[in-house]
Amino acid sequence: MNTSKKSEFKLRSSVISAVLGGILCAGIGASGNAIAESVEDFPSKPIRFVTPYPPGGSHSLHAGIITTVAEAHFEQPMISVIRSGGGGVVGAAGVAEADPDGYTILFGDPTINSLRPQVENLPYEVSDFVPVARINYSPAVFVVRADAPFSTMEEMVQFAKDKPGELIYSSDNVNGWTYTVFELLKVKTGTEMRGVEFGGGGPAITQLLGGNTMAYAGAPSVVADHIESGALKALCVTDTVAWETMPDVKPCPDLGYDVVFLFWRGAMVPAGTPQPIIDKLSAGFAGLVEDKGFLRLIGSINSKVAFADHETFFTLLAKEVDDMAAIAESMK
Amino acid sequence: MLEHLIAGFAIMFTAVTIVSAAAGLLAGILVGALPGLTATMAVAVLAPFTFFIDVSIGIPFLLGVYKGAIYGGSIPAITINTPGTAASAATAIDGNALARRGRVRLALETSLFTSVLADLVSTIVLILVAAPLASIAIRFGPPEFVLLYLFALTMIAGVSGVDFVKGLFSAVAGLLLAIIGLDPMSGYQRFTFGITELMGGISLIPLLIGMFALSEVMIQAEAGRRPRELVDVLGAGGLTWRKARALIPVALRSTSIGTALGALPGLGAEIACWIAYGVTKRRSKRPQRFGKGSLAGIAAAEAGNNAVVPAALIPMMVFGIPGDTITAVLLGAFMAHDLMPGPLLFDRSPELIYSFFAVLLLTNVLLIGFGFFAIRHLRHITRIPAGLLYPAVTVLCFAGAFSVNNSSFDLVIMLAGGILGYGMRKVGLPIPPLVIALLLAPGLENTLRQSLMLSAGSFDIFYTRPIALALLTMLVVSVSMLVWRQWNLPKSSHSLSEGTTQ
Amino acid sequence: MPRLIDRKRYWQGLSEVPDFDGKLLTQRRVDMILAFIAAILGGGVLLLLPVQISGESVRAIGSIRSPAFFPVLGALLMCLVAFLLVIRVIRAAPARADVVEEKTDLPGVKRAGLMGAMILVYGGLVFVLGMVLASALFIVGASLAFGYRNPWGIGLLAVLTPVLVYLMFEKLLNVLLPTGWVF
Repeated sequence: MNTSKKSEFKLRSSVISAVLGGILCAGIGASGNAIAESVEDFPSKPIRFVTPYPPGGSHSLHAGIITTVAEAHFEQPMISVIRSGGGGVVGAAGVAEADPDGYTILFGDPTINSLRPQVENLPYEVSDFVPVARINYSPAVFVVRADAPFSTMEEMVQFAKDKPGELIYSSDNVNGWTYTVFELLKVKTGTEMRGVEFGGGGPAITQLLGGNTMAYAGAPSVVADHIESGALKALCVTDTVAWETMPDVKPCPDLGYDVVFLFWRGAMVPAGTPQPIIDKLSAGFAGLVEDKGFLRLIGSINSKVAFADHETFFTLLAKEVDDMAAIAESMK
Repeated sequence: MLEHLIAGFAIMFTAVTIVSAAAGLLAGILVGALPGLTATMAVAVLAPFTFFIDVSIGIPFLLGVYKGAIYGGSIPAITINTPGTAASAATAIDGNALARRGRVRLALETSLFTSVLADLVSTIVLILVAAPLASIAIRFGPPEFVLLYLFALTMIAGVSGVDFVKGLFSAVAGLLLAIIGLDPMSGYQRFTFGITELMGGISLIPLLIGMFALSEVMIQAEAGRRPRELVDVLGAGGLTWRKARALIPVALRSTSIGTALGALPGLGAEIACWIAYGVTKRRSKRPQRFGKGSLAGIAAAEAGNNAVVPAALIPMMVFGIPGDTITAVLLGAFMAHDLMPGPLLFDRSPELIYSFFAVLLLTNVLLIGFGFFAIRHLRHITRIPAGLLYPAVTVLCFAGAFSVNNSSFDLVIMLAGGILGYGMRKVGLPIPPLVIALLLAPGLENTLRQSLMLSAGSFDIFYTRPIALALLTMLVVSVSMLVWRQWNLPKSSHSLSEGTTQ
Repeated sequence: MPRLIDRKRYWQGLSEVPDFDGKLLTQRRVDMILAFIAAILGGGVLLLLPVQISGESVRAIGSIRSPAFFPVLGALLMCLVAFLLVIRVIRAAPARADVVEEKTDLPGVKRAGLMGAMILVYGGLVFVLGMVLASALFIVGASLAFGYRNPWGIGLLAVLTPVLVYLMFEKLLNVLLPTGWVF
């Protein structure tokens, strides 16, 4: 009896130690594998594509199109995640704090990635993100109501000079895109205009059409139909060249107003993501923007593609951050 | 226009379109009937799937989902006091009270009847007067909205129950909750206590899920161990033609409220149901019946929220301006199918638009059938033992609340909402005022400040504009009547009304 | 012997235990507690104003455009509510206070509290064990707390519900559910 108990005990303890040892080895091996796996086998699970704005806007629309066609180019499904709030800050902050493993991507834009971190006290910095690829961009088009007392930029600026503070325009958010464009205009022309923040492009256009404001500046996809129907007049476009679908609208610099602000949309990952993963993602997006289905959908929402891969985008963004700093200074 | 409509029906009458509309309707009812899943989430998530499908399948499907979800929310609201969507919260008050008296079928059928009626009338309005209505709606500027919001806030008096002071407490609490977050106009953080997730404010849907659904689970848990005997709540008979006819005036009035509010961008079904409920209660000859199972209460709430669905498409289609999140998503779906909503939509693709109108009418008819089907089978929810039902509901709530914004913080909000809701119900603090204030306060604050920015600080903007003047008059009359009624109320010996300074 | 339920009380959410006699909360006490809470909220908001909204103070009530206007308005209204409640407490004569009372039954509240605690634990577990496992565990616990005793029913529900929810959300709707450290 005693011997059997003893041997039983021995057997049990050796089994236990073998199992523990095995677990330990497996753990070490697994963790080692995990590190190795993360670069070579990337991606091995679905990728989250975070849109920081409420659904329905042009941002989430682009995101929906991107994620729908993404699987063919990334070997894994890309899932559109909407994290709205605080004008984009909540979603951006969430991605900034996520693991830099390439599985969380922010669908960013210049206001939340370049301008506002420098101007406001946000929970993240410009340097918390690394640009992966730019999908497209659009300039802003200055528009006024068809029955407004001015039909050219010159007349509008003159109106503002003659009657300071009487020109009321629709704005989106403090330090948002429309806001900044008008601030630039006001600074460059030395005029006083009153902006009313309506929270976004949709409400801003609504108020303009309803006659409560006189002017607005927004994306071609949002204003094009109203220009065509005659409800709004386009004054100029905030780019160095005219927009393809609106060849008659002159670039603002050509008219003497040095207001250029392009609203790009691009993929950003948290700082610290390994370079090979960034390169893989960039290549994936390069393939995605050539996808026929993608191009068709982009065309149908009146947008276009202006791809910039990781290196190009990196350089562009660095320059933009400096530009934004200068703009922020001039807006003070 | 009639030719367009007929042509539209012709296009629509293909098997594929009908099947996808029906499928969407069914899916929508299912989503609406599950607590924790909201119409917004369903539409937002399903929309991208339709991008590559043909437009005659994708859009009818989404329209069906939208409509079905708004109706479906009334089913759990009535049977288990847990609104399936925020828009059904007002239905739960009288709906569940009636169900508890053993008349589940009557409550469900009343809800179906008024939902279908409201939807039909609102769709006809959409088809006939979309453009003129939209051009009036677009003239609603910030001052008009301020007055509208103030009018809606007076509804709080109607849903506070016996004790106005407690109702005021709830409402002010809702106001304070609404303030938390980033102030959109000045960019200041308000009461975020340094927590990043609070910069977006308190997420509404998780909070409502917690306050309505989780608190209900906890209340039900109080009864503890119950014997396996099932509580029989099947009552005698459902909706009779007589009762239905008597409800038509209420339903029509609530429908007009819902249609008007739906056509205004910014106000959705969640608030329309409360306004319709409050107005109906005020004009009722027997207001004390409300809250105890009044059919008019159910009718008002359901007509109010269902009328919003077609009406919300008006500003979307005519101006390309979405009124709320769901229409924003629908807008995106339209755009992805090469239909640019806006002033040129009717010129460019009239047949397709009219075929969608035909789809709306079709789904209206289908709703009757599906509704009866749903009632016949889902009313037996009340037979499910509590020990199986409520845990499952809780799991759904967790999943639903998380999926709104993919945020674990939203789960914290939901949990807080649950505890808060339970506490409120135990001490007699009414929940509807808090919800109404929470829904309206941000809009009121924004529009108030926008109005003053437009007028450079002067208040005359509220009475110099014609629409604003009309609304102001309506508001003043309404408040005066409210005060007058309270003053002339027969003094009851109820100690609760002692001390109220009305 | 299973007790017969009084259906009316059951549907009123009251416990089926008829021989309860504890008096925990009267309307008067509720009013006092609420007045206290209202005062704290109102006063708290006003006090925290300079901290929470940089640089603003109560004087913001003068300017509607200030971000502090609505908070101050809300806080003042809350103080008004506290005031009204206090008046009511004072004016309610003690004898009258017995006439209308809402008894809160303690065993019921305890059970609700237990359910609340379980829900909270579930919330925590979701991030340790992942949604699926945590849901299964919660269902087992909650069903038992509701008094449901059939092991087959509980087991079936605990397996089916998380799986169905997972399938519906992750596969059908493409929405990712929370995962934990372990799963």
